[in-house]
Amino acid sequence: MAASAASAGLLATVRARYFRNAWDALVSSVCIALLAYLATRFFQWAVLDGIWNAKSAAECTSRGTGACWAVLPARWRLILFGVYPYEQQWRPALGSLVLLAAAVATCMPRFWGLLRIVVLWTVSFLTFLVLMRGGILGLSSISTENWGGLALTLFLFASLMVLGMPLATLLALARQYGPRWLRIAVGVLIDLVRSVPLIAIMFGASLVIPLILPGWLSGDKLFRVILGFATFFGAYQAELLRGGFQAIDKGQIEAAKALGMRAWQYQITILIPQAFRITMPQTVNQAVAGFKDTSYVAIVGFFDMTASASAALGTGDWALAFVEVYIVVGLLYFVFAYSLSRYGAYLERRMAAGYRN
Amino acid sequence: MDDTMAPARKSGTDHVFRLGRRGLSPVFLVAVASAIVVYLAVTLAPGLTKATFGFLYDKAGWDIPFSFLPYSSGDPYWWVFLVGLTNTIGTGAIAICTATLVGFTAGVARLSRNYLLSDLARAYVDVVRNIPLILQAAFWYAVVLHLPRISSAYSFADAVFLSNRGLFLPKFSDMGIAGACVVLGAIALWCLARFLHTRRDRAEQDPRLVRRYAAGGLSAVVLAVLLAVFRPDAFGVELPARAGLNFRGGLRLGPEFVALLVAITIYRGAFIAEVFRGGLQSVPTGQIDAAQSLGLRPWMVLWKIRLPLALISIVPALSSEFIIIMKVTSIGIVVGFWDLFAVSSNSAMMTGQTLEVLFVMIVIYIVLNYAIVGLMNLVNARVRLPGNGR
Repeated sequence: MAASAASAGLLATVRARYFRNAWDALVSSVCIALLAYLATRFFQWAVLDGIWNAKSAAECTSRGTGACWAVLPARWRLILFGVYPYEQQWRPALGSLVLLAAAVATCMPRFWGLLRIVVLWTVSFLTFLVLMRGGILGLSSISTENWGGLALTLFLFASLMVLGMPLATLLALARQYGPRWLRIAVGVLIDLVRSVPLIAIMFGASLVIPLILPGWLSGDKLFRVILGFATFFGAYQAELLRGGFQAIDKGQIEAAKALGMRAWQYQITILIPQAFRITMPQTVNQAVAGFKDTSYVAIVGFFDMTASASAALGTGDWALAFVEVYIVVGLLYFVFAYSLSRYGAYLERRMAAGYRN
Repeated sequence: MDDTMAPARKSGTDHVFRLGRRGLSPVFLVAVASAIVVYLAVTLAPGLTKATFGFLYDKAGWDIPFSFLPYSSGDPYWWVFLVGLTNTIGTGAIAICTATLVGFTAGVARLSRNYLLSDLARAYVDVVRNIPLILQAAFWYAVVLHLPRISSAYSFADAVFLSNRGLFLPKFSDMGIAGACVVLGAIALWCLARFLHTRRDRAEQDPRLVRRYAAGGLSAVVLAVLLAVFRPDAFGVELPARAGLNFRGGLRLGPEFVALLVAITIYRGAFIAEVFRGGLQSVPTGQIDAAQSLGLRPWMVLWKIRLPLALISIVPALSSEFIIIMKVTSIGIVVGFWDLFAVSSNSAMMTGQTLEVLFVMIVIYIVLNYAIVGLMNLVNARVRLPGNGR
């Protein structure tokens, strides 16, 4: 009895959801047929006919029409670590794990405090730099030109957050609460940065900073590109945070002043945490965009995961296996970006439940 | 906003950087800022005093494979910048149209009562939005390059061909361009005239205006008919035809352009889908219920009630999407498409006049940016409901 009632319920649901009327039924049937066809074709190509051991893509095509997954065992190190010296690749591996652990910890509410976040990121960031760069602790020195793959992508993202978030906070504070001339100056800067494409900013930063700053400050090219990248991110994020600051009741500032707090005290303890809290969903979106935008460094000549994907194909042996490589690299990006945006959705729900403005 | 802030500003303690009671005063900040400016002036002065834009008249000497304006390697640099700008605007404008179409379709499908359609749209948005555009562009470029050769190109009705050399489309013959321009121009003028009058104006407008519109529209139709009767070749269309190892005639869109356009359309389309979804969802259900109870068909509810109301919140979000699309054509350099950025970066390399080239490029981008903002503000004024707030 119960089973048939449940199946009747299921049938009714299926009917209501997919076959409400003739038009819906037609659309659903066509979609289902198409999906079924595509799914079986994909399964056939990827799993049943997939080839895991071959010397080159040409050998794959000679053996069948399936996916040439053999490119992965041959090229996975290139995709993950770029051209980092082969026998030293445990260093980017370990460094990436440290950064990932820090990122996961940042997502936990127990780490949401200014001091904790600052300590956490300073420690993990320095660990990563020591591991990758070497030169101390008996590690051989390896220049940033040799950094690459997923490790470089994660590093770019981490430095974007570490530099860009404080910059954005400063810009937003200056634009919202600064003296008039500073508000105008920051406003012009933000509008200027926002009207130019990211790649132009990176390109400009890598070329112009050496002309402006003395040699010891202008650093290597990776550093300059990251500076430009962080400025770009900061300009967009600052506009979000400014919205957050605007949403905070002026009475809170007055209350803080009545308690005798100074500007920097209530800015740090009252305004900034609330601005981040109010804008958290958009901030997470911005972070996802920043993660994807790390791929722009491929254009200015760095070897991040996108450039590695092209390089994995570029040798000629595997050029025909481009679909397989792009699927895997796309999947890697997707896993990071999608979990970040899911986390944002979770935060949004969590805050809707507990927060009244 | 400013009213509530003014007294607080007078008390003078909530300024950022004012550490403590006296702390960092504006005077100090002005001093720091002027020090930075002086430093920049001193370090950049040698470069700036030599900054000359004379190179703009030098011959460029390199090739641009695809451009909307005619170009040859003997053209001067100012023309190169113009070619880059029109490539950016042309590609951006086409991509804006295609991405909006894709986004609108996916956004409406996302709200469909058919769960399959809405889940498919959701899967599209979720997958595409979480993979970098550059990777997608590189992928589509590889796809186009691995299409069949011209000898075995995909053919659609023997008018459109797709091969690893790009997409071949029919185009107007030289006379056809003239005919099409006349007709399209008349239609565009008529649309513009209608568009520039807001709804309120039309409600109060005088009948003379209506007659003027009618006369304009009628003369366009008459012109088109006359052309079609007396100069049929004015609407001549030229099909691409196989000629040896290539196609002759027709319009060729190179692999770079096709890959870039497909990538931007699919990628930004997913973002625009979310804009449309949010906007359509923001329409109060009472309006839709009312429309349904008046007996409007579902497509009429969408087209006549839901969309016009949703546009009020969609247009501002859409305008920032359009600006993003214009700027994002700069990733064309990944697939070898020469847009404003690619042209500038190469000019900087070739002339060595980095600062000047960057200056020209940034100024063009800013002007372009504000031009779109201005245009979209016009649209925004048009979709607003008369007498409905702000």
